[in-house]
Amino acid sequence: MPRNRSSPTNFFMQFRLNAVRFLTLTAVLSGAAVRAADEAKPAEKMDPAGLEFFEKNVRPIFTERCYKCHSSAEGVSKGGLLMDTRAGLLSGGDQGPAVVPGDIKKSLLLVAVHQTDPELSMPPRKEGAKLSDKQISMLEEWVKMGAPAPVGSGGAKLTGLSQKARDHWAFKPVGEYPVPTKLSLPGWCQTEIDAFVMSKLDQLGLKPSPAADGEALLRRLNYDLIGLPPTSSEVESFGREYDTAVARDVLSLRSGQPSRAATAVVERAVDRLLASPHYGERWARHWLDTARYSDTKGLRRNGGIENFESSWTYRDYVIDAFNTDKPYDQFIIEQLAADRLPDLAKDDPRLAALGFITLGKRFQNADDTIDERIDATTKGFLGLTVACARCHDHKFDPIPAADYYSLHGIFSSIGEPMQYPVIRDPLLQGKNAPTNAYRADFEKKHAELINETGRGYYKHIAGLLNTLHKEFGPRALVSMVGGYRSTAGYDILKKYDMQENREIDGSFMVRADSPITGPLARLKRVNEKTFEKDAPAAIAEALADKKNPVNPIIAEALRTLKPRSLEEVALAYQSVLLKNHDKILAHIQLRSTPGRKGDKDDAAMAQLASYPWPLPNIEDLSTVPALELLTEARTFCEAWQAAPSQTFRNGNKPAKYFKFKELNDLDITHKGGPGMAMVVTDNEKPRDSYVYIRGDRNKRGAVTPRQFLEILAGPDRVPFYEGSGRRELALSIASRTNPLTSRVLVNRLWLHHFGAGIVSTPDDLGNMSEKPTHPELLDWMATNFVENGWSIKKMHKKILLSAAYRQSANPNTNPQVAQKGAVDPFKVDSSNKFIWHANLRRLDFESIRDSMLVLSGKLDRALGGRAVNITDEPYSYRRTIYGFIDRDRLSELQSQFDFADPDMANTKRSTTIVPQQALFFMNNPLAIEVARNVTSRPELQKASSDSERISQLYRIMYQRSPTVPEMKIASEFVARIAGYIDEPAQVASPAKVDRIAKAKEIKAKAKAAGAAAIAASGKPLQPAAVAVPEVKLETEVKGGKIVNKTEMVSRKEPSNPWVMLAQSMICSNEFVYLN
Amino acid sequence: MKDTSCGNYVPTPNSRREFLRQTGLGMGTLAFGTMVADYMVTDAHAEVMANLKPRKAPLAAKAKHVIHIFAGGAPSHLDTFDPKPKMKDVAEMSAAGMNGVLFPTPFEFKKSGKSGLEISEIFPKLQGVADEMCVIRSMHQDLPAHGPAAKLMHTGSAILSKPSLGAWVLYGLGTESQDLPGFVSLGGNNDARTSAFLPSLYQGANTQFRPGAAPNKIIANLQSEFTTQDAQRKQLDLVRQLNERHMQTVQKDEQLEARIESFELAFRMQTAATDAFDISKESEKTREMYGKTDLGAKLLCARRLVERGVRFVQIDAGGWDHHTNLNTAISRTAGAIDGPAAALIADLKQRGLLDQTLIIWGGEFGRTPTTAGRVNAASGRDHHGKAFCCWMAGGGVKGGMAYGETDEVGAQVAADGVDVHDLHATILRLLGFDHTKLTYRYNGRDFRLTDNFGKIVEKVIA
Repeated sequence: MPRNRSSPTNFFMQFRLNAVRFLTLTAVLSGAAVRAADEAKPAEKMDPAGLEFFEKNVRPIFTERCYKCHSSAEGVSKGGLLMDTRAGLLSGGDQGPAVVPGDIKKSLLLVAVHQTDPELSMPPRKEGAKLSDKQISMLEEWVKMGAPAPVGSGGAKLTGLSQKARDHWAFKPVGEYPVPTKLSLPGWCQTEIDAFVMSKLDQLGLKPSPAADGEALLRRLNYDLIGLPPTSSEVESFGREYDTAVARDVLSLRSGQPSRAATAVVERAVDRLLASPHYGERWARHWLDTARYSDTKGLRRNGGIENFESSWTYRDYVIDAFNTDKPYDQFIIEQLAADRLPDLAKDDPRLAALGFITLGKRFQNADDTIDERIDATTKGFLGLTVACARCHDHKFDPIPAADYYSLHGIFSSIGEPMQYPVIRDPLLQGKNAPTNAYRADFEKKHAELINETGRGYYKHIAGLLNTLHKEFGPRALVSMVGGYRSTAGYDILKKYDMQENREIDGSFMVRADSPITGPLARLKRVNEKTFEKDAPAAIAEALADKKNPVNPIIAEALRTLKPRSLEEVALAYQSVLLKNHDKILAHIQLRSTPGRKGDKDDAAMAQLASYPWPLPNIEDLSTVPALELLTEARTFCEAWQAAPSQTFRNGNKPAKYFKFKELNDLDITHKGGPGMAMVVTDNEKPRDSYVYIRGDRNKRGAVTPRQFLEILAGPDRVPFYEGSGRRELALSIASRTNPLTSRVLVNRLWLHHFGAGIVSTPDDLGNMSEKPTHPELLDWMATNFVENGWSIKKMHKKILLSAAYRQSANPNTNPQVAQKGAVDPFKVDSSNKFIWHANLRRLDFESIRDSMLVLSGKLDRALGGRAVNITDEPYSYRRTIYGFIDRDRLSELQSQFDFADPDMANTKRSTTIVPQQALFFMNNPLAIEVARNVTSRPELQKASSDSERISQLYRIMYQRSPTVPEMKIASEFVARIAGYIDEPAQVASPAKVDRIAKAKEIKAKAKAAGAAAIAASGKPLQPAAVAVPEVKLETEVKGGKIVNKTEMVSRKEPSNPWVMLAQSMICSNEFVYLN
Repeated sequence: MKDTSCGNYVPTPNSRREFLRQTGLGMGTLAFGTMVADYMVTDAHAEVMANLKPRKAPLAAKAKHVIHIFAGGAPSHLDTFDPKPKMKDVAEMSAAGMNGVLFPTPFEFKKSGKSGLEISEIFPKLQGVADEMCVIRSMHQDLPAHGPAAKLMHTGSAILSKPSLGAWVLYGLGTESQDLPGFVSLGGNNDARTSAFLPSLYQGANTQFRPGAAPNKIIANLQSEFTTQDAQRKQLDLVRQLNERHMQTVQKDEQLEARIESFELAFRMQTAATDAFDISKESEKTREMYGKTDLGAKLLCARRLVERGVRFVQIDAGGWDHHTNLNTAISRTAGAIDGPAAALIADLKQRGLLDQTLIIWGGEFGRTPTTAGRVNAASGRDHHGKAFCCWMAGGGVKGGMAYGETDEVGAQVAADGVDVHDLHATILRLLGFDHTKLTYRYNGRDFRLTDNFGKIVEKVIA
């Protein structure tokens, strides 16, 4: 039977989740459990006298004592019950109808107010007294009358399933909209997109802004597509071509000719960038935000190994998918069901796609893990917050709780194999593949650790048996009298002078069906008072049991025993074990010695030695899964499980034998190791799920079939039948007729190119989202995207070749702003929703850091592979996407720069500005190192004057030449700062003398460096050592963190004036903003 | 049911345009130069800017600052603030069960102060400030496992990624400090300072504070190792010049201006934070009063931070997981916080800051009234969520009182139960918020610290 690694562990079973209160993120909106089904029922006619009785005698009781917790007016419906309408009372809460008209016994309301059932007593005792007898009889009378009350609409405030919610635009089929033709400036339009944008601008009386200049445009294209700045020569040649083309277009436009010259120039650049392997790195990162990618499980605090063995193969898969322009429908199907693809090779790289499911946050509770996967899938692909329906029908969108549990059935019908398959990482082929030497090194280290763990197992068992044999008697007794916590158990521990040991618990190994403890278990049942008389018969009976044959060595010892008490039996056992202790150890030795098969040893001794822990031959322990199985909680006897299985994970004592942590460290750091796909597989017996009432797994509602969401599948929905149903789910999502999938994707592309989506919330297109700014355009793009084979690259081109994208980011260039005409665009559309100019955008963390590296000339352009540390010293020069992401301890740097929270889909990042970011640019050694590297680039080294050096710096940093004033400012700075450093110390206010001393030291060095820099004016600076890419192991795990095996930034040299100038440019706004 | 888009308190609903108009080029009013654009779009408030400008709470309240001393590990309520004098009698009668035997506290409780609030002898110094303290004895929760329970205490959620209490407070109130982070964490894990889905400017600044550590190393990247502050000043002048030239080529934009300002603030922070963290500037007498220990230093530092306008200080004061050897171990752990906490209360009071500073002490759950086996010197208590305690002081809480009751052995809440959401609701109320209205729209829903729960404990509010 395949073992399932995602099964909930036992470690934290001492508490139970109060499921109702601690469930899903978007769940538990009060009072939402009641479906609005009663709306449809025809109103019953109420007898006016009955209604009067209700208002006079019943309503006051409700108002005073019940409505606080059970009314729509208060917005509270505890237990799912709303009492302010008849419908609410009749449909009731979680436990059933509160009122059954005419039936006092079945009306839970009356049961509750009588307070005879402690589980169902109302009003709650802490709220004051029980209702008076008079009040109770009034309620009874009212129920007998047929419970007349205003009909109302029960829980009808729940709007999710209403027709209005169903009529939301996003659930309607993608519309077919013609490209608008009646436009004020048809000549401006370059792609169909422009016609839609222009049409909106016309409606608002707005005009587009002129095109950005070539420098700004290429920078924009570069960051948008590959996340790296262009080189200055690329900017120069693009700028020349583009500016000429723009001029030509103006002429064409005047003469009524098509104006496509600039577009052609842009197209060449776009094609070039889309073909760059860095494109995949850039866009994979966007998808990883959506896919809540992390390299850790988020379970640290509960022990266990925290790192995923092979999350990076998913990241590489995504990079490759973008680079090869994998059709998006295929991309979806692979991420949900790659294992069910036809023509799948065993080591198929596409298997890595399943990481989408597996690399989310893990929880102790399996339902939480399933919930996380439902959330990621529905937000990620559909832009729907389906997880809201875990506890109740969705409050805003037409997603009943039953639909949630349809998906729950799918995700609870899957598991993960003990051993992930090894795949061909698409990025680590050919030249990028690890060398044989690496592979051999990995194999060697891996085998050593496996071996050590295997041998450690026998050592560990021998150690445990040493204690067990010496103490078997009392321990068995303790367990049989109720565990160490019982007084009797405690007395036994004291009597035998044993350390109170919490690892011995009640059920400790005394089992009736065991060949070892069978007789003992039987004797436990013998009456204490007649023990001496009855024991021999019980022993004889046990020894004669053919179904549970007793171990011959034990049988031998018991056969003639005449015990006077259970204690004597236990001690007899102990003496058998002690007598055979050496032989047992010898047997273990045999088992642990390669080539000497223990199963050839004396069978009775082998059986005795394997009690209570299995004792395979060491040959059978050559893989991690085999070892894990052996040391897994349940295969160790229940009572002793805490010691080996829990502590090896926490690094306590037995850990010295069990090298799982080291094996995991090796997996995530060693370049020679295999890449594994974090796959899921369908369970042999997929099962439909019950609806959990209010999300509580202990309260089961109806079974709901595994199927797609009703609102998207329509009335002809059929249940899934292929395995878990994942593939069918994937096909339903990746369907041409699915109204959400294509819209969600093109909206995200738009967001990343324009800085704002057509729908502002990329992961939620439901009823709570804002209306799309350009609904027709969104649909046109969605259609076009699907028609073009779900090609993301083609959609990029449509967007990037548009005139809308190409506009200047400076609104002051807009003709209506510049001319101050009748229309003020700032008034009409202050936040630029309708794109009358481009948006100024701050670079994200990845682009900032990657730019720093590329400008320093040190960027490591290798693709793919295991994660490195990109935030701590010693620094790595790999692209930021290759940084290790710990969802539980996101590095401060990442969170200060608005890294997406990896716990759930977060496609849109915020752009906060905090001083800690400034401190990073000002003081972090990486900033210094980059500035140093920039100043030692050959362009600067070869420069023959300060002004040429400044020009080169501008070209490197900003890809442009400095203006005359900029040149002046920079050269003054270089001159002044050198002199300034030369000035006598002005101690700010250091609290400690050593800081003053240090400041002095820095100044002295800076003075020397400054002098050197001045002396070097006109001469080349010292050339930098050329970094030869050296093939070596790059990372290791230290203190639970990935650490790069590289050099620290040197603190010896204080910054010289040129370094400070370069650093200033890194600090500047021009460096981090795209215009 | 509440409509989720109306009536909620959303701090500083300034649109970008309004913001631009108000601040112009000056930016002088922008506290701590921190903001975020476009993070939130709702029907009700077009585009809302997030920033750390100090803002007035919607309801009247005294508390303006919070010092949260988190007693991680789950302190026993029975040996600290919840006396059970009758337990000794019951214990003798009680039969041993599978869950061990009743374990009456080995410590004496003393009626302290004018109020006569009963406090265990392991807190001799806190006994001296009992009249400022408000003990809640009827705390309860459902998850007596450290990780999830601590997360619940810090964020209101045991499982999901939610913003911490401090982040919500900062979101609601902004900060008065012009050159220090508004939310400082002096130790503690990520849960204690996370901003989760709130913009990251509301997260707690992580520090490496410990007594004797160089004050300029306490926040990452706080000071340069490569140049002097004087040279750096010149460098920032250059950066400002570069930025001004850059701004001429693009639009005047509040983001750009805020970023320029953030460098100035960072520069000031280099000195200001170094100064705030430097407790050696306190008098010998004051340092003695707090105690020259780790916690003494942290609580003294907390006072320095609050004095400088920091909104929320989070302190980790753990070590309460006393499964064995309770007698000696809890005395030690209590001894470590007793003096510093008493000093903090007295010091704030003497400086007139106690009224506006809410001190909260407490752990994630309580301990069992029983012990395994027999009562002896090695006895301890196990995890217990059904009853525990915490205390608050200052910030508009009633001093010298105990709220809520547990049963006669402290196993269950007997009256006036307070769960973690109730505590959070009360803390927010003390700061001037209706906890149901301090919301943040994220992924299609308005979130709040207390989720869908929380009842204000009115009786502890002065």
